[in-house]
Amino acid sequence: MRWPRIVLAVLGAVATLAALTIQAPQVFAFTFLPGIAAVVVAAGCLAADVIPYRPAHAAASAATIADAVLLAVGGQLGVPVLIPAALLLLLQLAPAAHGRRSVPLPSRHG
Amino acid sequence: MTDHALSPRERRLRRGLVALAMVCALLVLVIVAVLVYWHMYLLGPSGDPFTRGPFVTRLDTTGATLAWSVDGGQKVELTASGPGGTVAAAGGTFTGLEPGTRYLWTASVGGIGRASGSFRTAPLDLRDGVRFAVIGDYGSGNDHEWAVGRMLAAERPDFVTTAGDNSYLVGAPQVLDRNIFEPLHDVMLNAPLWATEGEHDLIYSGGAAVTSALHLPAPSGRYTVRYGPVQLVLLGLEAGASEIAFARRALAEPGALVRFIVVHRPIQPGNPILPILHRSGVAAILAGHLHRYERRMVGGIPEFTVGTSGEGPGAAEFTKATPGAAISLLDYGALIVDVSSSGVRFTFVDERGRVLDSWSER
Repeated sequence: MRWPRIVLAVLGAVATLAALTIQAPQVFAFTFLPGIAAVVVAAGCLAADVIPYRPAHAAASAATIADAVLLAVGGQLGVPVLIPAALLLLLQLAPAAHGRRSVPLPSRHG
Repeated sequence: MTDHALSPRERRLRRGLVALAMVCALLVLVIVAVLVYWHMYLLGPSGDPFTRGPFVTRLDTTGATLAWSVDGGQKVELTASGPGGTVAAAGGTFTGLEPGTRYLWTASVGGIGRASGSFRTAPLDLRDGVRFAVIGDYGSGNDHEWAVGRMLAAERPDFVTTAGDNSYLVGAPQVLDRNIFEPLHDVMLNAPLWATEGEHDLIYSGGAAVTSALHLPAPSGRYTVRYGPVQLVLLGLEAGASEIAFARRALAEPGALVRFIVVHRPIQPGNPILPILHRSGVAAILAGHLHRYERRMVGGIPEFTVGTSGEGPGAAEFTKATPGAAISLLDYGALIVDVSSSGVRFTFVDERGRVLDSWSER
């Protein structure tokens, strides 16, 4: 199931773009809503990573939930919103990168 | 392992689990949002740390003292602001204030202002006048006493004096908050309550509980107090032999321009104290006991009975109008006294804010 992670990546990209282009506190509107949406989607993503169990994906999903909470409310607590926004995007790419490294390269000699 | 490696049943289970997880996350967010909104916008402020007061107990030309009881003995910071800036109190007492000046005071607990009021230091003369209020037979904690208390607070007297019976049925410590400090809370933020004591106060440990709670200068409600040019001589229950001797000494003290006698039981014609009061130029006798408002002349001195500030009239045979009274009412209220360089004005205002009697003396 890839769509939740794609949705999370899009949310992360939107939040990152907002953090780079809009100043605080106006940017909080663009990080709060993606953060809330990301919490919901990441919960579903975590469930998807449990069946079948994929440790790296599940860890990334669990970290995404925490990061999404930080994205939603961190700005008002003094956390620079670019950090959780960029992290949200990177956490969706991490499982793919980990999977690519884990797959053995095909032998030239078959 | 990918989606394709799962059986159709496992795939359905997986989709259901994903949906369930998302719904649960949504519910958690909704609950958190509701709790945050409730805490930030619906929940009231934290409770009042003061279990009594703060209330003004002493007020003179250059100083003021406040008293209070606070939960858990928390530290209270007391400041007063006036034309000269802000001053901090030491042990509840302000010193070095300007005469005849209104100060805003604030009591803070844990860095948060928890109570505020204001007081006017006693003036040196009567150019700006002095306003005080008289109540009596009031301490019943009923709606009428609360109404009189609200009206008094709005009148902003410099001080309040009581003609006794401050707490019904007895002046026991357990009922003083209900009968005195809560109904009169608003006025006591801004004005000291200088009380004499009646039968209902004295029946419990000789009035010690009322004396202690109100921080009165002497037991049994017998003491003198000065507010700049105004002197109150409070006699206690009645004008008996020892009270007459006390009054003679007190009225001989120099400095006061206008003097008042406060006593629980009205002084009757023929009482040997009357010539002394007359010679001393006492402006008026302020009494209670009879649950009526009355104005009459006794021995050439105006006597006001203010016995309707809360408890109300009892049986008709015990609440008869005094023969010879110029006015005698059963309405709940308080007497407002305005002292100025041109004379003294007495105004009886009822619990509904209506002026029912007004009389001036030059």
